[in-house]
Amino acid sequence: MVMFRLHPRANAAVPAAPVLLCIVVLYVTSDYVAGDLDGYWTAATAKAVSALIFIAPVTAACAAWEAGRLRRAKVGDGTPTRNGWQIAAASLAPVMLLGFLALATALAVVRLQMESAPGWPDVRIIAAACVILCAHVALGYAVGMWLPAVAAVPVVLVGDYLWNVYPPALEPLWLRHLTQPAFGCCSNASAVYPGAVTAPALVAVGLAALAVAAAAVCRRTPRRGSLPGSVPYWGAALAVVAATVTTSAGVRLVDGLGPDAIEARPVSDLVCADPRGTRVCVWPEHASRLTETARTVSTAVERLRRVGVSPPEVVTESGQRPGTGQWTVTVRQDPAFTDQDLVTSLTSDLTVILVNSPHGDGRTHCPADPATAAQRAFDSQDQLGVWLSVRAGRSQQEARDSTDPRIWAPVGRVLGTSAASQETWFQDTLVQARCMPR
Amino acid sequence: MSVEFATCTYQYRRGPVVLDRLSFAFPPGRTVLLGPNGAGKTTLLALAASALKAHSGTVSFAGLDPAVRSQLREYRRQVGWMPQHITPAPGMTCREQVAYAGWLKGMSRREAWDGALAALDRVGLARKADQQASSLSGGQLRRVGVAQTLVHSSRLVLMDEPTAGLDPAQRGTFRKVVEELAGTADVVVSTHQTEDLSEVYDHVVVLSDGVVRFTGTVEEFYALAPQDTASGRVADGAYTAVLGGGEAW
Amino acid sequence: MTWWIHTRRLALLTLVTAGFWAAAFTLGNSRLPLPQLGGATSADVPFILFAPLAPAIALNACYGTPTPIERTALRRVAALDSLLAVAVVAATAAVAAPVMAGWLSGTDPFAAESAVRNLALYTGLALIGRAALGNHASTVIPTLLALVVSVFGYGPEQTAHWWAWPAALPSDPLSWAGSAALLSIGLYQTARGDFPRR
Repeated sequence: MVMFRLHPRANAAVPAAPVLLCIVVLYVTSDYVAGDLDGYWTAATAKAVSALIFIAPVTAACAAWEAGRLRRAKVGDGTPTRNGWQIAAASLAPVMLLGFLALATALAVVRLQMESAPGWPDVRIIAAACVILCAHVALGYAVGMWLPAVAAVPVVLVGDYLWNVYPPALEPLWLRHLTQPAFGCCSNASAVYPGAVTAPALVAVGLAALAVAAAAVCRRTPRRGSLPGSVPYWGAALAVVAATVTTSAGVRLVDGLGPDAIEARPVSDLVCADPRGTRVCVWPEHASRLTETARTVSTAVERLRRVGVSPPEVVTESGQRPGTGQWTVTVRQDPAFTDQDLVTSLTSDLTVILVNSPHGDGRTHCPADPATAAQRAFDSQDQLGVWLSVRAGRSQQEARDSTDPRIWAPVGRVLGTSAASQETWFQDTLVQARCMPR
Repeated sequence: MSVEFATCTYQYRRGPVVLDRLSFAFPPGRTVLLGPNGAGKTTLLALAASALKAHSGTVSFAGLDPAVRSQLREYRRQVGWMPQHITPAPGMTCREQVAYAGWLKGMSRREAWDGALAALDRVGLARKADQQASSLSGGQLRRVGVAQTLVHSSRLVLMDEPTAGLDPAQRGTFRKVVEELAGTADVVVSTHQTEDLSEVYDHVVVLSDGVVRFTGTVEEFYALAPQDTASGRVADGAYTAVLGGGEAW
Repeated sequence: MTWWIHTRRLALLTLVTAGFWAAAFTLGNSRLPLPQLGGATSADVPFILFAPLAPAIALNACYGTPTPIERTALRRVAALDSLLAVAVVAATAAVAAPVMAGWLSGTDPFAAESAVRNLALYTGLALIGRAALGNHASTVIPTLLALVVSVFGYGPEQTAHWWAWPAALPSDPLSWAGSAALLSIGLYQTARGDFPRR
């Protein structure tokens, strides 16, 4: 049995499709999204579904237009043999298809911008995005039933767009996690906070319930027969209760969150190698560079040991519990990220670890004036970082070119002295760097 | 003297040509316009009412051309039009809706308000004068449409399917209205109702595919019916004969 | 005239327009940080970019689809519709004038001036849309313009592109001239409805 026939040529989704798909492609290729993907699917999925800020309003507006067409055709005044769900589905199926196509396009374009992407897109985030999309389409349909198309389409288009883009500008910060799944997710060292995926989906379910109830109580909504007198009102009350419950549950899930929906990425994800004593671990999306990273890190660790820095047990990409026994390093898929960058990231993190590590000589050498102490501490930390990077294997030329001449001058001088003088300078500078007033 | 079309061509946007260089004049008196669906009847009446403008050619009535801006006002004063679709204005009563039509045709507020009640009375809707127009049935709404045409005095009255959806009693009332109009105005009525043509109308015009297939008196029209046509179906027989036995209604 | 006012739902239009004035003069200077695809990475889009859509939409919603008998009217109903649009813009200008002249403190002239200019622009586009696309789709044009400007309208340094008139500074003469021109075209197109159309 044919449930219904689609007539996509006449559907609003058809003229809207090229425009929406172009905007989605422009958006996901912009620096706003494509700037920091680096092969991590969870982050890439979150960035791709952030295109909902355009997809949801456009599809909701198409749904409002389709509802307007049913209104104008007075389908509700007829005696349809199909029920309201089927009639709405016939109008909204192309709109939903457009929404899913736009989401798939966003994911595909994001994938094209990654060097390699082990694993798969995050299904939880995609599922939440689909729920949100369906809710917005239902909302557009309901508004289109209540208002004439001349008002419904612009109201839905602008209102839905602001609903999606405005919460990040509002306090409290967790408000943004009610409208967009996995907002602000993620750097490689973070995983998505599951509550921030569930919460917007729950709020969307509440919205959808309100939309269905609003459409049901509208006398223009086409349906088979009329509902018994009190049913629409009981349905509306139920929808309000459902929306309250789902929104409250959503708020409870995210009300402790900051601007980004993230939590620490499990260390079990790491891929490790054990060359010459120091264990080196990277995230799976950087596994192709593990050998190169392990070689560069081991060389750097050995060179630093010679100037008095104790080698760590592990050098890892995970930012959890860094310390003198566990150094951190940053790796990127981008081929332009060289072993020189690896050494720089390693020593930059190491400098912070060394400065913050417990020490016994107190603050006896620090200037009394806090401002002077802070300035000297900053300068010392910068100098230390540059010196460590050169000692770990970075070329002097590159270090000089990328460093403020004021910072480079003492480092350049000390690099020309004996190993013993350099070790003394290292210890003295480390003491100065620890003078940061607390 | 009646409305006259000279080499008129009309085509809807992205649609087919409805009228192609039509030259024709409605005879004076009461004329019924017959034709199959899509023949161009509504377009012809809308052109005559100055709701539409021909792509080429002219329409004129009493020496007035609605395409000439200086003559449009006087043309519209003399021509009344009942469109095919009567839209109830939201929140308006029947009397207000009819009075609004009179005001649109240049009547003062007072004249229109008084005239509206009289016009509603002529179509048998005086009792519904203060009822919301949107609450009326399809047939009643059509009678409001007729009243809108009667509220101001025109020298040419054009009505597009005024009897569609009317019960036999109301069709009788409508016949009376047309008879009353005959003394003061030329009347052109587009319809699919062919019974009692001879009692109401003087002339018959048959339009098909934008071409006038027949124009003449009712008697001349009836004469086209085959000899063996049953007495109650003479008009149908004549109509079928005019269209060459092809598409009828 | 009262019947015409009744058919044009003037009460609703007045309510929406008054609400727009209240919102424009209290929230007009608020800004929304929105993502940008037109050169800037994000821009603080003023609320007044969107607010004038409300009366422009309400105006077209209140016009509704004209009843067929208006197409053969002696009275210039379409000209009245044009006048109604002029009245909404003129009333907004009159309300904004004291702020624009600096007579009222506490309200930013930027919001007042942008409100008048953007209302003229959106109303003009809505009227052009009504003539070109019909009443149902008429308001899509100004709405799309507002959204396109909010997404693509800002270049580096967060300055509006030359074509992004609703986001332009009130001192930009091109945005005023363009808005006035589009309003004039819209009014002319609307008023032409009094004459037979093809």
